[in-house]
Amino acid sequence: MSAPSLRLRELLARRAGSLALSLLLSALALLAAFGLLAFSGHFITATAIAGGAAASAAAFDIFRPGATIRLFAIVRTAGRYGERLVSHEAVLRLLAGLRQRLYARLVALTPEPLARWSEGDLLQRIVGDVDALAEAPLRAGLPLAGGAAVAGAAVLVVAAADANLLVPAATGLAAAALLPAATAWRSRRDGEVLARYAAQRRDALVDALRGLTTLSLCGAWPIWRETWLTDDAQLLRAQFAQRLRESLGQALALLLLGGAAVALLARADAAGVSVAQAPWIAAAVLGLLASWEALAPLTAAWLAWGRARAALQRLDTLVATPPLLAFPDLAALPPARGALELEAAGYRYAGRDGGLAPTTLSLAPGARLCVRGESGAGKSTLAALLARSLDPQQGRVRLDGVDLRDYDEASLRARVAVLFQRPHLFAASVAENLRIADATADDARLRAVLQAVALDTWLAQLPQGLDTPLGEYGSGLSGGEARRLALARTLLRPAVLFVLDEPYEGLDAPLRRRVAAGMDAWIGAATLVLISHHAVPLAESATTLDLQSIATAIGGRSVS
Amino acid sequence: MRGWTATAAAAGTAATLAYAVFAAALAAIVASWTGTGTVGRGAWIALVLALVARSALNALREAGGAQASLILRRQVRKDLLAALERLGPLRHRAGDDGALATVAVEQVDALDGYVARYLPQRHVAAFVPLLLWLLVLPRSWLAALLLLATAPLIPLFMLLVGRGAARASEAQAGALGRLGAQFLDLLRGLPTLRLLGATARGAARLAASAEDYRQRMLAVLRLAFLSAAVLELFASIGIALVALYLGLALLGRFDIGHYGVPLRLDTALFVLLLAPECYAPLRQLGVDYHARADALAAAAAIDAICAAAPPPRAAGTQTISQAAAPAIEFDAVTLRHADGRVALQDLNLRIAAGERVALRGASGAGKSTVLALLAGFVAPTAGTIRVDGVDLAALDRDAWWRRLAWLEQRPECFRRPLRENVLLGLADDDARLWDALAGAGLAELVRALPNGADSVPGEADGSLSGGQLQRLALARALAREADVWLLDEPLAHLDPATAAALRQRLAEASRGRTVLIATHSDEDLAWVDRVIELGGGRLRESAEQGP
Repeated sequence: MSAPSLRLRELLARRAGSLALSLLLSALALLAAFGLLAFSGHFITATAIAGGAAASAAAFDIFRPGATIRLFAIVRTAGRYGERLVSHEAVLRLLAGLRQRLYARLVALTPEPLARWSEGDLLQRIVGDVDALAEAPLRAGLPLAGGAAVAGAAVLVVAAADANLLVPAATGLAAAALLPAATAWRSRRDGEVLARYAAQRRDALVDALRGLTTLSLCGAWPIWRETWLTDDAQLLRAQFAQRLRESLGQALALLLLGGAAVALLARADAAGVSVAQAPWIAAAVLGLLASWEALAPLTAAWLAWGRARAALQRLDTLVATPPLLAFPDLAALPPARGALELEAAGYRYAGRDGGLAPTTLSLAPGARLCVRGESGAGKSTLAALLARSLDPQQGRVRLDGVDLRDYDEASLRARVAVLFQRPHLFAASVAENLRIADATADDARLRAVLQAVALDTWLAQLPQGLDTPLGEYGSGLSGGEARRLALARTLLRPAVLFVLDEPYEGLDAPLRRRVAAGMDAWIGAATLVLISHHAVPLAESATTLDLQSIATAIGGRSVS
Repeated sequence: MRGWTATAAAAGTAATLAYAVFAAALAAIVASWTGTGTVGRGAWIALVLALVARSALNALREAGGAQASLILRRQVRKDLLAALERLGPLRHRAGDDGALATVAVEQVDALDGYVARYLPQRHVAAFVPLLLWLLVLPRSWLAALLLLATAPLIPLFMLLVGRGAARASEAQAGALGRLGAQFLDLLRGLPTLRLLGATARGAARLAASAEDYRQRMLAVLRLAFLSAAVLELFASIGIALVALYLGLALLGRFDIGHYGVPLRLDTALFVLLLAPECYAPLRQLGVDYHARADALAAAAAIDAICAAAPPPRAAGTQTISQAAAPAIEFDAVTLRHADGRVALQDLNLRIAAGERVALRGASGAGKSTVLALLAGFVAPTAGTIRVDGVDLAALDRDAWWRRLAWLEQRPECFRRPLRENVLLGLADDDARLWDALAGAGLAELVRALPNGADSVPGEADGSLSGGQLQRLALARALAREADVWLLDEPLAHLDPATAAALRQRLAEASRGRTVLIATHSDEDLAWVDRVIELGGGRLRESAEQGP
């Protein structure tokens, strides 16, 4: 995790063999398509000339050209088929490799500073960027290489026909290849601006949708809707203009290529064509026309290239962000007991209200602590400090006499189990979700922990029991059920300190009592820090910590 | 939009005709070098004109497609917003606001490729091969037969292209999409995985499923690419056979197929040049096929929202007295959703003018539905809602809405100055603004902000807490002098102290107004006049309470 770069080249190098093979096959297929037409032109013209005289017609060798034409037909088919298979296999492997690399890098940035960037859309973009990057060889590499190969072949054929015709042919080919690059470059620059506008337009829509009901009742919705639609129409027109420019670029490229063919014809015609030369000039002209098949996808290829580069840049800036926290590799630690000490530990967020005012407390192993306080008082910040998702800016946090900063990550995670406010349920079965916390837990233990959080009746009505898949992002569960499932998962950890942030959200009072009792019994001799704004019915030995917001603590404003 | 699609298709077809003219002129010129016929200036002029025409027509095809896409997307967005407007507070049945916005922006854009390229190309692929075939037929029936045999019945070919390319691109898009979704799932769960010490398990899962997908995908792709290869093979063999036949005929060794007249080089070259163009549109259609798969997925998402929205209704015209808060009556009201689920069953409810009533029940009990019905966002399937004795369906909706205030769990706050947030839909009026802020208990706080009432909430100088946002919504209701308040769990998600303070404020400010508040089971409801229990879309019991 030292070199902050994704090293696309290294990843590509590992797939060099199959990528080179697919490049070769792709170029072969395109060359065969080009050759098929050029050679056929040559063949037909030659036969026509030979057919003029009975003697030469009889002597004309038909088998070799016939075999060549069939060969081109077969190479074109087989090449395209092989290229598709090989390149898709390579891209799938590339994609898997890229995802694993990126995942490994992002682990170090979790939860901070990743949380600063993230939330759905950013993650969605990371996924899209990785896809764009992995598909670069397919969408950009192959067409560009194929285009270059065919353009080269066309130049060779023209040279064979008449070296004097090289200049118009080469000029036309170069223009037909480079013009798309120019429009694509321009489009990419505009595309970035357009993408930014599109994101703004989306945010504006979310903002308005949140207040749709009120906007409607206040009579402000029609005005707002028209404004948004007008902005949208402007953006669509800008996209349209961009598209128009691209298609004009394409048309111009086609015109230039055709123009080169016409110029070649005209020069040959003006200079006079010998009978021997005629088949070659026919081949050159038909070849130029056939090369359009290879040159037409270039605009799209250049655009894909630009997208891949932009994706790489964005991912690089993300993975180059230094991690907020560093863990020592290995630590000599005392036996785990669960004694927790906070020594004037405090944290204040830069640029916004909230954080934890310096707090001191000491908990013996097996103690129960209830933390209360209004929103913004630092309850979740306390949880983050105990989980070492954040380091205190002042004071220290000790577990079993050792500063949390001196724990290696594996030991810390093993000793401290945390339920944050927004736990994630994976698109996997109930059992798989639970076993993330404890891979060795058997079914009986999973059932027991679900009973502890009062999910036993819920489990009983699942169609496939523990193996029931939870839909994407844990959908299909109510909010309360999802939280309790996440709670059960946290409880499965073999920890000596449990930190639970609002485990009761979405539960009514009787259910809260049941969950509290089950949880208390399950945790047993371990230490519990329970953060909740509900009156919590825990064992009578529980101590309570009332947090006050920093603003109140320092006499600032606080209106609620 | 159809006009532009037709224009694009026509331009695409005409471009092929221009190519045919170009091919004819080119063939004549080359043939003249071998002594077959002579060409004048006409051939050269035709050559250049046809070239220019082909380029221009191709550009026109692209532009027509883009224009059709522009019109369609604009219309779909308009329809979507209209559907969302009709759904009002019930829109969450179709997804959260972020997801809805994604459909309206990104998914609508995903229709682009289909409308701009695929639709016109479908027409081009149907016309062009036929057209070229008709051009070849009078010159050589054998060449025409070869083309027909290798492109046997265009529909069959279309099916081949369609099935093969569809399977390939759908399998590819589907599998990559699933892999992408799983990757996203793991990224979203990264904080959870790290806290559970299970990041290595995540990595292992990523690797295993990628490998599994790769193997299954390649099995599918091998088959799918095969059908594309068959198309490719037919095209190649077709061109090769035509070329060989033409060569043999020109040599005089093969004299069938061109109506007994010796084949001329210009005719042969012309036929040869047309042959690849016969197959090109079909192959292009295969390339564009993935756009169709994308568009189908997007259309499904868009349809889901539009289908969830109630149909538009004719606006009523009746008005009622605005002198005092109205009385409300639900008379045997039933609401059945489009999917057949019953949201409310035979609800009878009478709320006196100025009465404050709480609707209590678990989530899904129908509380929000009652509020949405009363606001008129959705019409009852059976039964009548009356306001001061007048059927709600006959009321002038805008006039009715002006009397309503709506407070939600997540109070809305627009990225506009506080002043505009409070005076939403009203003329700027300082006195009204500050009265409303004072009534909601926000005046002091707003005055203390650096920019006062011109601060933009959510930005550094005017950040508001959850409780303060609720007060802002309350101030909005006060500013509008709304006399029917619909409150959808306004106190959920607030800590007890904040909730108590806001409850106090609500109790004071709502006196003399008709109030319906949807609420959780264990809310403190001492301030309302009556509590009604809802469960499973029915009235459970109703208890008188309060002063």
